[in-house]
Amino acid sequence: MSTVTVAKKDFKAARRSKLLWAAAIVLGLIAAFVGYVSGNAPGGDAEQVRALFRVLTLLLAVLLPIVALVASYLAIAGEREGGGIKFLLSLPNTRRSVFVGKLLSRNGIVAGGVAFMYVAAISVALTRHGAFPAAVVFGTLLITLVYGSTFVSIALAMSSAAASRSRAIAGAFGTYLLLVILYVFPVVSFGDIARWVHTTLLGADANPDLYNAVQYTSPYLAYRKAVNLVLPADMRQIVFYSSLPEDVSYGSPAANEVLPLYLQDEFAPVVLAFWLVVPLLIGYALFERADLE
Amino acid sequence: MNRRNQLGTGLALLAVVLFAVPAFFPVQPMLTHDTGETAPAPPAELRQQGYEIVAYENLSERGQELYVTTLEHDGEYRVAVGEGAADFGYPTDEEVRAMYDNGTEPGVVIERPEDAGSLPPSDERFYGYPSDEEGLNESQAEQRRQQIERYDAMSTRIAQPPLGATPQLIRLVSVLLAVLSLGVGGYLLSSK
Repeated sequence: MSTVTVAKKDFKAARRSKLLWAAAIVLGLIAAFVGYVSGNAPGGDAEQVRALFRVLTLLLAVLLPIVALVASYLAIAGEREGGGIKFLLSLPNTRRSVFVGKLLSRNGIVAGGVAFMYVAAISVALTRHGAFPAAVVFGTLLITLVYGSTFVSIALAMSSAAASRSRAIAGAFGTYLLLVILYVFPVVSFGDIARWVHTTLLGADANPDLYNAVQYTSPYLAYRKAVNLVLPADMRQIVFYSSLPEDVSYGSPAANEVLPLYLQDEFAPVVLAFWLVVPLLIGYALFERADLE
Repeated sequence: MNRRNQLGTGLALLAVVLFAVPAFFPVQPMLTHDTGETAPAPPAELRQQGYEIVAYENLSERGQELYVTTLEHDGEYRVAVGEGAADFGYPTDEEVRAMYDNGTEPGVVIERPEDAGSLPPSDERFYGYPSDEEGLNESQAEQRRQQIERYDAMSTRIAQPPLGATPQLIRLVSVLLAVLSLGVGGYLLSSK
């Protein structure tokens, strides 16, 4: 019961935040605008709406981590620095109930933002194209919620481990840089580092599948690949070009099937599940042992 | 506090209305005439390429009017459905794609009169003089230019007006206001 109490209290406090509502409005406006300018895809109305949600997921892949990290990075670190943690942990609340309550609340906040964006996009899709491909809409929504949850987990874990607000901010910023920005603007990519170690340091023959597997550890790429699971083959986002034979058409199902199992779209939920669970376990373990005095 | 609730509820309801309104007033497709396309080839070659060539004099009065008005509007002119000319076909975007697949060009090539002084200038583009291999001197090249300008391609189709058109912008504003209204209303209701 105390977990629910913590979650309710935290959610109530967060929903009063002007900043979070402003973020939700901005996301909604972006979705509405994307819905408005999209519509040049080949095919009928349903294809246009599928293309709209495909573009929306590309935007969410970059924007949602910011929302999730901002919404969660102070969940526990803020309470610690402000001294509120002592009241939160008074009987009957345990550290676990605080941790789980904060997790539920922050996930609810991020889900609210995503829902806001989807309401705007669905509205434009229905009024402009008169089509509602439910599998794509609800499929991308579900995958997006999971993606948002992974960054809530990461931010909450860091917030649990950080003793101060500044460390929590640094952690959130570093997470976004390492897990998203370096994949969007690959100045230094983990795949390239793996290639250098593999071929230069170890002197082995180049193995693109191996380097792509290293890249695939990112929740950002996992999200983009997971979205493919609910999109038609010709709308598939190709991520690992270097692992594809030259004679394979990018728009065919073979573009996924010829990849090794660990690079296929079906492997994306495994990567997302890893980022959803492991940071939470580590964060909880650190929070349990933390000296909160 | 009560006033805050009322305002929040009002804004949320307004958002629902603004989200729904565009569905009841769909943007009507329009008949588009576009002379921007260039068909730089002799008539026989144009026919081979799948173009239909129609002499300006053979167009109906409405067809001539639409062609002239299109040229006067910088090469693009739209009219409501029902206000087109029987001389032109108005395929949908999908039909246009199918025509391209079949090797047919959408729209027509209008053969302007020899003396087209009463018409606005053709907007066909002549991309420089022919290469030396064609062996054309300057006067022959000038003849080629005049021929290209005489055969003016005009594509016609039925399509939604562009995003900058007023009916489309009204819809955009409606949805943006709906999002704003829902966000502010939600905040007012949540922060009581």
